[in-house]
Amino acid sequence: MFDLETIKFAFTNLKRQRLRSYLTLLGMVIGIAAIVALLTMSNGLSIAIEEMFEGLGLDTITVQPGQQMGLSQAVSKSIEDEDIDIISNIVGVEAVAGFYEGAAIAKYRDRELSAFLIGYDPAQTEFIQQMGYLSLGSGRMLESSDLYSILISENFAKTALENKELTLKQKIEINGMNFRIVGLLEDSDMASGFGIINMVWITKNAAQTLFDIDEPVELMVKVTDESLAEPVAEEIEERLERAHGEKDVMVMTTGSLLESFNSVLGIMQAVLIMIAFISVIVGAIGIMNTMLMAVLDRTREIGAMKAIGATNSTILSIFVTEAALLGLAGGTAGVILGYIVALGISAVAGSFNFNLPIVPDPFVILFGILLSVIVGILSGIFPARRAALMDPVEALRCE
Amino acid sequence: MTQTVLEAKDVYKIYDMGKVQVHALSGVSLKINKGDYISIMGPSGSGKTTLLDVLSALLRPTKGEILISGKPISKMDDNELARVRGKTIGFVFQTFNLIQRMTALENVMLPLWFQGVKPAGREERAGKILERVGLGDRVTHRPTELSGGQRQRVAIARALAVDPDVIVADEPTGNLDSVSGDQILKLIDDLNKKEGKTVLMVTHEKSIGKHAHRIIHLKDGKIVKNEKTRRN
Repeated sequence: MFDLETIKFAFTNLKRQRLRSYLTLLGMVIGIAAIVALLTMSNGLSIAIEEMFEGLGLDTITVQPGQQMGLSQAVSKSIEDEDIDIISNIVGVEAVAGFYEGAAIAKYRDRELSAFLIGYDPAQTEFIQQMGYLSLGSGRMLESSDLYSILISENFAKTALENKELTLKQKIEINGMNFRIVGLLEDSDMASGFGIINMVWITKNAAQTLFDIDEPVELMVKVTDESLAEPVAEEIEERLERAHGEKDVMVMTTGSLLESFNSVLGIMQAVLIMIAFISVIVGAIGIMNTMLMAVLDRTREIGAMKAIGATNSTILSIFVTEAALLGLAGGTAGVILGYIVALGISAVAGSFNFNLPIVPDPFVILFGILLSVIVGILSGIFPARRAALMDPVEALRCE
Repeated sequence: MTQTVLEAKDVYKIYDMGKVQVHALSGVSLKINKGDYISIMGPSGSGKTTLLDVLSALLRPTKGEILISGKPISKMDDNELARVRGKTIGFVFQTFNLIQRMTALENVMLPLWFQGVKPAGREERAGKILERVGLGDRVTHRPTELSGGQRQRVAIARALAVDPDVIVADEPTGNLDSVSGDQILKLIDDLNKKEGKTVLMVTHEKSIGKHAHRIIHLKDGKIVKNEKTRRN
């Protein structure tokens, strides 16, 4: 029924269609473009996140306060300094880094800046660097003996003041105390990937003695081998529960973090694609409208074809094929437009320092085109049936 | 023995227009033999086009039976009827009804496609027939690039493509000037005389009707006269 000749015939018919009828294809093009752009971008996002977590290392475990990911971090102070020792004693643990975080107001001359303090143990510098933080641009790293020394990012140094850059060895005032900038961190730093630039790194000692941040907000644990991540995470959970008397921390491996990120991404993707499907439905109505117009325009021609021997099924297949070809055209244009949009958004994201890779996925291309062809066929059936069931005599006499 | 190609047996065609019933045909019986050349004439509203439609199986009668080569059409479904019609009857319309998007050759190839002829055979056959009707040098022209007379020749070629027994023509010269009209009539005469095609033609012009061997006069859906012409 859908042989090459029907397709050729349908194609000649479409070539001669009036331009305005193609405008109704726009719905289809936009719908497919939206689906393709969304799928491609969320694929890119998932690649970007995966890269980020891989940078973090699959051999790391995150310990956060609270029972749900991300939410209670700021308010709850359930992690204690002693937990670092408890975890260090577990077999398979190579390093434990605690982050002593707090907000502060920094001052440079008369300018006030909000700063996000992060204290860490300089003995863990190498481990923290492995996770993608603390990549030194210029100056030096902090040492255990440092107290009034800080590290800030190059980006923060450039943008903190309106007409002046902060530079190495300059002093800034935090909570009434003077600190010296000893190192500038590169912008490629992992933290800038999350959009936080006003981080001020200090030693754990400084955090505890100068800012009264006694307990770490978050712990990062490195295990000796990737395969140990899960069992060690379980062990940490057990021991901390015993020490605290309740289950008040979240222990996550990078792998499980990645999984939960991906599942959130998946839900987001599903919702967005549902919305895009509405556009496809509009596109389907557009094709149906185009085909109904074509059937009306060509009533006499249908009558003539029937008179010279076309069966109902021949007429049906001609019009359904035309609708399928319209779907194919809309789908192809949509796929191309979708990639252009995705590339555009990726370029915008890139200008904000966020790497969103756009990779043409054969599955997405095939899905977009197949979907539009199927939608085309489905929306062509009703107009085609109308054409097929036309009475030849009435059709021929139609003015 | 003469062979009957089309036959109407006590055919009625009644249109139900709500309050009134219009009897387009009321009890028409007619036999058309192979090689016949018949004109159907009558005032407008006399049912001549309806008779042509019913005889050529485009329209099923309300009552009575139509036989194509002896086979009753009431026993065929729509698809079968379309195939039989496509094979047995070639249509020539007053308004040509060519497909504007296609060249003369493609238009003539169309019924061959519907009959399932292979593409290569189609093109050859269509080319030959266009030559036969005198359009050998116009095969790649589209209908809009042809004169009225030439368009009607393409339509005749299309009707001849599947080598049907019967040519059915509804006012074939109605949209043509008298010179082109005469040429088309000459072509139809030839098809009957030289190639033995049965011709069934509706016209309201006496001079055209006289080209036939027999003139069927219709009035109010009934045959009032079945007249032999001198040409017979």
